[in-house]
Amino acid sequence: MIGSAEWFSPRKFGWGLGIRTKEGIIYVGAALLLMAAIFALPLPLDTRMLLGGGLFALLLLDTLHIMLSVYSKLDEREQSHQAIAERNSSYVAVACIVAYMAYFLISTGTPAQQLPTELAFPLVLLMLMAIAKGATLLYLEREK
Amino acid sequence: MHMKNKSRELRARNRMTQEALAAKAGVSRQTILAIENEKYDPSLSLAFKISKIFHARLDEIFFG
Repeated sequence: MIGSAEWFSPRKFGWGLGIRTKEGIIYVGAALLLMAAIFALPLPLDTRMLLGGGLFALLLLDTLHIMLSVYSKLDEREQSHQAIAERNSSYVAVACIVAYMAYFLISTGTPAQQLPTELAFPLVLLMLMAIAKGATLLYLEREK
Repeated sequence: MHMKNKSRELRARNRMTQEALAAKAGVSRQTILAIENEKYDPSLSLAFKISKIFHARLDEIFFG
């Protein structure tokens, strides 16, 4: 497809891809510029949404293809590190949910029937999970 | 506790860089570094690859 796996690397903090080379920077910059240019065109909104949506779908497919290539090239040690990091981030997720359930029970006296619907909770949860993943990878991949 | 190994010694004897060994073994340089620093035990298939590269027996390279 358009992008190349050599331009990107697995992210340490969070999920997805990190930019590794200047070609990767150019690819991301060009994609953003193209998206901005489409919405700046003097065309009806429906047409701009259609073009923008098409470009977004193309970029999404390309990104998924690059991610598959990047993550499949990891060697056995890097794959085991990624698995351990994902495991630790899921531990953090479980701990946060349990902490919220305990806090709700203590403060209201009744068990929580559902997780909070405010946007802050999933954002904080994702941030803590990403930190756990990144910290695990930094610890495992430190060089003497 | 990780296994001890003579990978660094054999690599030096064969005048090979970590990058060259990593390329031959199909792993990253960081993995070779981790093996030599005894921070990582290779899988059986990787250990066999390394022993084939150095023309040495497994137990001559890795020991516990």
